[in-house]
Formats: sequence, structure tokens, C-alpha cells
Amino acid sequence: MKKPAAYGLALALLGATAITGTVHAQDATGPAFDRQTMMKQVGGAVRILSGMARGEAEYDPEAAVLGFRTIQAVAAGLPYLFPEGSETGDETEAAPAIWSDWDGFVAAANELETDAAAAVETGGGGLEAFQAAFMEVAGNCRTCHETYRIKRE
Amino acid sequence: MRLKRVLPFLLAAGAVALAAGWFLTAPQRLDPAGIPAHDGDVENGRRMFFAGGCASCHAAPGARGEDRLVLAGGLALSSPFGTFYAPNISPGPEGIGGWSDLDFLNAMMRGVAPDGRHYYPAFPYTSYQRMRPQDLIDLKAFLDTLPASTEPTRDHDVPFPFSVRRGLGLWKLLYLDGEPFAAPEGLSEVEALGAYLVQGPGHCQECHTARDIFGGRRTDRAFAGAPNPEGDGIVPNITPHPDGIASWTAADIAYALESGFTPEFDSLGGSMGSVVTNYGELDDADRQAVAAYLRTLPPLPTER
Repeated sequence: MKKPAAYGLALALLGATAITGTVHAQDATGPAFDRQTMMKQVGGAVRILSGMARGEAEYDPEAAVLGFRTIQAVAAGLPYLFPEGSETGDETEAAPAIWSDWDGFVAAANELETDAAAAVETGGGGLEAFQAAFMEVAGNCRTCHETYRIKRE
Repeated sequence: MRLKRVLPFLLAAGAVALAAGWFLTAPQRLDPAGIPAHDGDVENGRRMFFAGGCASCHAAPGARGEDRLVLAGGLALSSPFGTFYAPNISPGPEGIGGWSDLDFLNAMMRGVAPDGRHYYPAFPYTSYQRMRPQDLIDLKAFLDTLPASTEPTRDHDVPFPFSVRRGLGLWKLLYLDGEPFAAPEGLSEVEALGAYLVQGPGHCQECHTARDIFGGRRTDRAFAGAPNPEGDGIVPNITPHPDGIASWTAADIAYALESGFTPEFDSLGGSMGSVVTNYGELDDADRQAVAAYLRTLPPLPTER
């Protein structure tokens, strides 16, 4: 049986990978670009998850779990995307607080990973459980951005 | 010889200038007769608390969940005029314990402390002055239900001449008009509610409108974005201009206020993250109203 939401999510993720490939070929490389790409993968997953949480798309347990898995994977990689020396340049919106408060930043990434891992377990268990899991995971985005992201445009 | 003759006049003129200065910088309190008799409604007070974002500055920095209801203060706000520290406003001796409703209204609407000192406008009373006295009495009733904190209020770190609080009287002559809220012409009921929430409690313009060199809001740049007053980065243009959020529907804006997600599923951050946490506590109708009003703003390009 076809799962339109899961299919869309898989496409979105493939798309993000394809974009990475294309733009890399055009010489846009480096940590700032890599983390923007990874963040866009999270954005792509959230788009699908949010649509289901708000009832705009039909709840699909497989898509839900796939979305949370994506976020979990990116969260696990976050601390490796901000190496020393990548504090500036490439129009980065990474805040200096990431490096001045490295432990706090890693803790925030770990919290997202933990919440996403829990959501992988519960998010497939019915709409209400999914919505609760989504709220829990989504709250991490803005609390982390409060301190560690600077809006530049 | 000549100096001797003009000296008395100079002294007299100086004395007059000092007296005028003293008079002009005096704290202007509300007329108690103009305050309606009203019993505080805690439920509406809670709504005003979250619409007004009190916890964003007055909860301890980094506080989450229930801890955001302990208004111990301490957040540092850096500005071109110095660093301000949000005071303890919990209902205890270190905060606003023992304040009358009138004390509270004078603070919120006139920026005047119970002892007559001017508050610095880092405390956004230029917006809060638009709030209805009833809503403020409700807010006070809600604040009085919160836990008291013994955290002492930290002194601001503001150099001379800004350290002379009396001088803020002159600033208020320029930027604190004392006018009540009036909905712009031609708005629907929902849009007018949004206008009230945005201009009054929400104090959105305090960050989203650029300031002049004296730190007053530039009325010709309303909601069109500004450099981040705390230094690095920008505060976005939220007018319906292509430089702003013209492509956002009212539903997009309401959802961003609820969840923090933009229509592109980027996540809001900076001090807006805390605003979203506050607005998530409101009824959807209030978020929808704010969104409806923002869509009616005159579109303005971003200043570059």
C-alpha cells in the first residue's frame, strides 16, 4: 500500500541530498554550508510532521517515525558540524555562544536527540501520541535558536 | 566691571533654567481619579502576562516551564546606553510585594516607580501605556498569585550621563505621549484586538521598529525591522512588504507565534523564541488577531 506522506518525506530528504550535491559542485563547501543543508533536512522533516500534527495531512505512523529518525540523525551529528575555525564566514548564522558555551550547546543537541529518539518510539502509536511527541521535539528548535542562532537577514 | 553687572542676571537665568529643568524632568503620575474601580480577574491577568511577555525578561535567564513564573529578574539587556538588568518583580519584599494597583499602573503606564524614580525605557512602558487600566489591574492580580523570589535586584550598569535618572523626564517628554490605545481606522473587530495586543501588551515595536539616536522609536519605520539592539544580527521586518513577511498568510503568522516555525519551516530564535513560548500559552483567537492586524500594516521596505 502506498504511503503518500512517507513517500513525500523520502523525496524531501533525497531532494536535500541532491541539492547538497549540486551546490557542492558549484564550489559552495565548508562547515557553514554543510550545517545549513542538515538544518534544511530537519526543516523538511518538520514540514511533513507539522502537516500531520495540524491535521492538514493524514496521520501516517511510518512517515511520523521516519521524520523523527531524520531529526534524531541530524541531532546526533550537530556537535560535529561546528568545528573550531568555522565561527565566521559563509554568512553563517551560528552564534558565537556555540563556541563560548560549547557544553551548553552540546547539551541542547543531546536533548533534541533524546527527544527525537523517544518520538521514534512513541510517534507511530496513534495521532495523539504523535502530536505530543511532535510538540516535545519541536520545542527544541526555538529554545536552541534562542541562544545559538543569530538572525542576519 | 561689565561682568559684575551681568553676573546677577546670569545667575538668575541659571537658576531659572535649573528650576525649569527640575520641573520638566519631574515624574508624571497618573491621576488616581481616572482609574476605574475594578476587581482583578486572575484569568485575564494570566492572558496579559503571556501576551505581555513579562517572563521573557523577568524570569531568571534560561528558566523553563514552571520556573518562568518565578519573576526573580536578572536578565542582562545590553544597549548603546549601557547594560540594564531586569529587576525582581515577584510579589515579595524584593519585588512588587505591597504595591497598590495605582503603584503598578504608574510603573506600567508612566514608567514611574512608587518612590518617584523614573524607570529606564528598557522597560517598555512606551508600549504598556496603551494597555487598558482594567487589563493592568488583572495582570497585577495574576502576578500576586506567583511565587515570591528573594533574589536581589541588580543595579544597572549605565555610564554618565545616562546614569542620571532624572534626565529620563526629558526623554519621556519626547517619547511617552500618555495616550490610551486607539485602534487605527477601518479595522475589523478581530484586527482591532490584534492591534491592541501588538501595540499594548505585546510591545512588538520595541524590537521590530528601529530607534533614533536618543533611543526613541522612529514612527516612520514602524515594524520594518531594525538592527539587533543587543549587538549582532537583525530584528526582521514584519510588515507585509516583500522585504518583510508579505508572503506569509495570517494563518502562517499565527502558526509561527504558536510553534516558532516559519512557512519555510525554519525556526524562530533569539528573543523571539521566548515570545513564541509566551504566545503558545494564549488562545488561538489571540494569535489569529495579532496575525490579522500585522497583515493590515503599511508595507515598508527594509532599510539597508
